[in-house]
Amino acid sequence: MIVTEKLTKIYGTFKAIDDLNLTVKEGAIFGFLGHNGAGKTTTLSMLTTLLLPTSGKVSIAGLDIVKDNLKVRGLLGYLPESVMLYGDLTAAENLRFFGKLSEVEKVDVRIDEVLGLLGLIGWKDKKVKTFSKGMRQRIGIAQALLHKPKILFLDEPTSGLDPQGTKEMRDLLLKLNTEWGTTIFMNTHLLSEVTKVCTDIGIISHGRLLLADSISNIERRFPEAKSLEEIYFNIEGGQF
Amino acid sequence: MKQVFIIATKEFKAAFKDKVFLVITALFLLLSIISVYIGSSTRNAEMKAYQDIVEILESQGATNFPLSPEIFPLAILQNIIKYVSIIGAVLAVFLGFDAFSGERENGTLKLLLVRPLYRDQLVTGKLLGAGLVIGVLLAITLIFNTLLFSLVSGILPNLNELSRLMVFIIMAFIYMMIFYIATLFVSIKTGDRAFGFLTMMVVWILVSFVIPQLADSQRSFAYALNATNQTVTQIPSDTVISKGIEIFSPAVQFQNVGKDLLQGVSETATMNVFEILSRQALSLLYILVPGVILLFASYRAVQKEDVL
Amino acid sequence: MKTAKIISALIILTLLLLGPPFTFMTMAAEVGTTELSANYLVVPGGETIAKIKVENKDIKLHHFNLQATELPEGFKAYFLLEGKLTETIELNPSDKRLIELHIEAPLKVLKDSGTFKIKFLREDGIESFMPISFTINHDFALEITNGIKKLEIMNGKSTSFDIAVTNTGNKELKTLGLKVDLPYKWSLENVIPDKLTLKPGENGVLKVNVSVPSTQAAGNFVIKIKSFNEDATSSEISIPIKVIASASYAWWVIGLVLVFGVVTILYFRKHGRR
Repeated sequence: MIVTEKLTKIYGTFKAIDDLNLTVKEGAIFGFLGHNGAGKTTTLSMLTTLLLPTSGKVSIAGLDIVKDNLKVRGLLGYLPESVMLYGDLTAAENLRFFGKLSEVEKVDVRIDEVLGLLGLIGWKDKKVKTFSKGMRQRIGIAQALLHKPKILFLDEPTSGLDPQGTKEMRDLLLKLNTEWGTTIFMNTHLLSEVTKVCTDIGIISHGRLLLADSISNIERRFPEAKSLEEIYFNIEGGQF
Repeated sequence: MKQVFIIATKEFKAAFKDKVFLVITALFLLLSIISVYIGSSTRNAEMKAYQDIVEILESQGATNFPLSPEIFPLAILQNIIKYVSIIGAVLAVFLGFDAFSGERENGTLKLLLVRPLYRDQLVTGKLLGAGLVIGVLLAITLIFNTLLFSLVSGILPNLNELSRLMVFIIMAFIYMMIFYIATLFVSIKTGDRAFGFLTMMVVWILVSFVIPQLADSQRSFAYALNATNQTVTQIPSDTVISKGIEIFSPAVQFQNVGKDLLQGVSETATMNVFEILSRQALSLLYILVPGVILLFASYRAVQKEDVL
Repeated sequence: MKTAKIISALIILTLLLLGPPFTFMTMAAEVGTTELSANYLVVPGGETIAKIKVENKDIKLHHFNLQATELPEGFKAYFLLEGKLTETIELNPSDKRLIELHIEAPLKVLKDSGTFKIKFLREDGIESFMPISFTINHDFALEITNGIKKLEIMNGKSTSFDIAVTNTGNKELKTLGLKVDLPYKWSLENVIPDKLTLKPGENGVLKVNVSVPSTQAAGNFVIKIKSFNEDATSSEISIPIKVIASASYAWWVIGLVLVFGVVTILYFRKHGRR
């Protein structure tokens, strides 16, 4: 689904992403792990066509993200780390606007479907500025799901959520993946969530990809490690 | 292309929900009404002053009287030129100062840029939305002023006068859009809404007040005795420096064209609209050019990564 | 006696209390001319300048409004203070200022002599008047007119126009010339003829050739002309000239826009449409 070849991003003299070679299979829930400033958001921004790579290639569903940027955007849904939406508009008005931009047919029917899925149907006609953080995250996901994207990109989706909110988000992602077959690429630094949700993980540090594989393969490769957390810290620390 | 209209519709609706914008719009409309009143009062006062002077001269046994002052119908609306050039510009700045920086702060800019639309379409959509807002506002102003003008003066505008009014409104639209484009460009480039707004306020002050006053200070003056009022009046004369300075103020260029269109200048008061436009072609260019250049610059700026 | 003393004291006290405003009202401003006589020789169609000295003899600062009243028909008067047009003057106590009274006489005067007054109106309503008398000097009088109301010219070009001069006096006027005030960087190519001699009642025409620099931006300008010789000066006429900029400016501006447009298109071609 996602294939990067020698993906590099340089800002002046600083190499934010260095020669990234990554493959994410269709239908996977891919957790992209790394410390703060490792390059997770930069990678995500390139994959979602917000940033241009300095060099290298990226293809999503066989489409080049630079040459076929418009088609790629039609296939992806994106939830940034913190999203406010248009506070003075209602949930439905926000979704109608984004849905029309994504050329969703029968957008009002689709809005009801998505809000129902997210448990927000009763808040449809309320202004978004009255929503809590968790509800705004859910509306954020709603706008990403309107056009039935093939792949969903999430940047720290559980950031700022309480335990209940985190569990709801986790359940939702699993539901999307199993029922709709949506491929999910998610940036996170919460190992606990990765182990509960993800099928595959990648570890990035200082712009370089240290490891990318399915969780089951990783556990097989490092049998001496007691947990994924231990594997992560040892790989980051250069011990594995 | 459809996305451009979707964005434009959203911008149009959002503008009329903004309380500050609505207050400025109401002020603008109110001032345009007042301008008709002031214009007609001034006209009546001039006629009365002339009649008083004629009476005085008659009582003194004079047989030669000064010529009646020439007052043209559209001259009643003269004050609206100043209101458009000053308040219209502020309105355009209010429309545009958070066009991009507001989306950026909201987090909605990223949501827009990952949609299947080109970034330049986003700029075009915002432009179209603002154009609709300004167009509606000026159309209301035109209708209001035409009706008021007919009511107060008792004259129905003829074809030449109507065409002058239409062209004036189009010029006002272009002028306000130039300010909007400049504000949009600043909004794309600056990360902070407040900073962008302040920057445009400084530009507005420069263009509307500082540059015109600087140009004025470079004019030379001749003096002429006014036979009617027995007063000495100044006749301003342009200099190379004053004209050079004025190039940098679209407000001055707009006011010059506006005065010709609304019969504020006796030499051009009876010309047809096309003649006026050809005489003022350079002024029109001076108004348009900054806007066109900034529009190109906006399309380029939005392609860059620092727009995020 | 005692009663009389009390009454006298009361009267004196009342006068002391009320007196000062009245006492200081008189002799508040003194006006006079600097000339030996206040009679001025005025040329028909010409301008005469009288220097008026104004002094504030009061102990307070005063503002005065100046006005020429009872002017004969056709006469115009205005005041200049330090070269600037004024209708008011402010004087500190004991301050003296010299103001110029400019008297313009019409070309045709009904009487050969007359008087008018200068009124000095103080801020508290106190008025002073100064009579000015004049005599018309018919010996030397000059009238100037131009045939055109307004000129239009393109920058970088020259233009010419005629100025008519008439000797309206009783004596011959020799070596009459023109004083032409032009906007900055404009040049006076020539005046044909350079000098003129006119007998009483005679008309003459002077052709003025003026050139406008090519760098002149479009706009409205004024040329000021007066005719003069050592005996007489005519009134000044102002000829409005509209300068139309040649199309070259417009092409430069359009060129600038095109450059930006091309640069933008090239940018999009190179980086693609995002």
